Amino acid sequence: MFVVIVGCSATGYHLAKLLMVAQHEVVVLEKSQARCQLMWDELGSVVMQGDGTDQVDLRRAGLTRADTVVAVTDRDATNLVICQMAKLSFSVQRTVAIIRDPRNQTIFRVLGVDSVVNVGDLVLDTLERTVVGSSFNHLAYLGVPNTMLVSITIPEDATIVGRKLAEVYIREEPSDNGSEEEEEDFFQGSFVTVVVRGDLAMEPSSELVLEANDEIYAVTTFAEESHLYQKLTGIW
Amino acid sequence: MQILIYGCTRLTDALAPILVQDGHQVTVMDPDSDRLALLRKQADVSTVWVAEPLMLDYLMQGDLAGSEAFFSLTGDDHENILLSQMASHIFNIPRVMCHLSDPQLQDFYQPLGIGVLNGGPDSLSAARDLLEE
Repeated sequence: MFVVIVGCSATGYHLAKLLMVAQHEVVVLEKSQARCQLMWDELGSVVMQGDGTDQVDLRRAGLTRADTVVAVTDRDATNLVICQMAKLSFSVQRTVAIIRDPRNQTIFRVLGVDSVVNVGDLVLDTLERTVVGSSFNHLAYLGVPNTMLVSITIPEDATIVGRKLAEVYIREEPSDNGSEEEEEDFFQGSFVTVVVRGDLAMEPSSELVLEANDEIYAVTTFAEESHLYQKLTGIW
Repeated sequence: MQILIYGCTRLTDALAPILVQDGHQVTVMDPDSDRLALLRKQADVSTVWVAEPLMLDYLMQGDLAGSEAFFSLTGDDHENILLSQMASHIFNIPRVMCHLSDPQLQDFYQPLGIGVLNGGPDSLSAARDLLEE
């Protein structure tokens, strides 16, 4: 695969190294002369000095035959321009951009950037897991906005142990007037996709009785994540 | 017409008073509160101070969704491209223009349906033409 990386910050540098080790063809385009000089010693002639939003420089970097362009400059707006040029002027098949501001994710997708890597969210995920202790493993962000695939192992003391999977989907509303307990479907966009027990992958039928140490793979949204987490691991 | 301008540059200083004179309701947003204060002395515009460019939140404060036209006039071409495409594709603002100083970017973005102001002498009339459409 021929990959053009625009921006040789720490991210661009390490990505270039990884790809070169994996025997891919790589060109790194970097604007700053000083930075290029440093990188020439480290990476060799794959580093080119040039502006990733300049059509002439992009052509020089070989964009006409690039399979993938990765925009990793430190500015979201610049990364957008790079991807749009790659896509529309050079018909590059796959464009990837890094973004710092999570709110830019939607506009990047709408404008046709193929993959958006949201640095802020990735850092937050990792920090959350480290600081708060165990929480969902975020496996993948799906194409649908704010929706992701997560996994969790059910702890031994969770209320859900020994109950049917269907109960995960039920929210008990505290009733004010002493009438019978109201139950409401709280799930808008989340559901369990598979339950792994030991060596067995099981279909998540609503009758399935959950056990401790079951591994649950579920689709959920930012809004419902904490609720689902509470249901699967908490005491209620 | 309700108009939102992001960025308080020389172009804004020239454009905003003309738009106010034409009877439009103009809001200008910028991180530089001094420039905004100067502009307020020149023309009857409302201003929103962007303490930190957390863009979407501030665009809401300037009532982007309710605006009938949006101008992105910061001194940064790339920022203008991001903002104006956001206004037109996410907020569906019917009239959007952005200031691009790089001729290459002007050529590239003009056909993509975004009004381009080159900052030259004809910018002001181009902006007024857009509003009359």
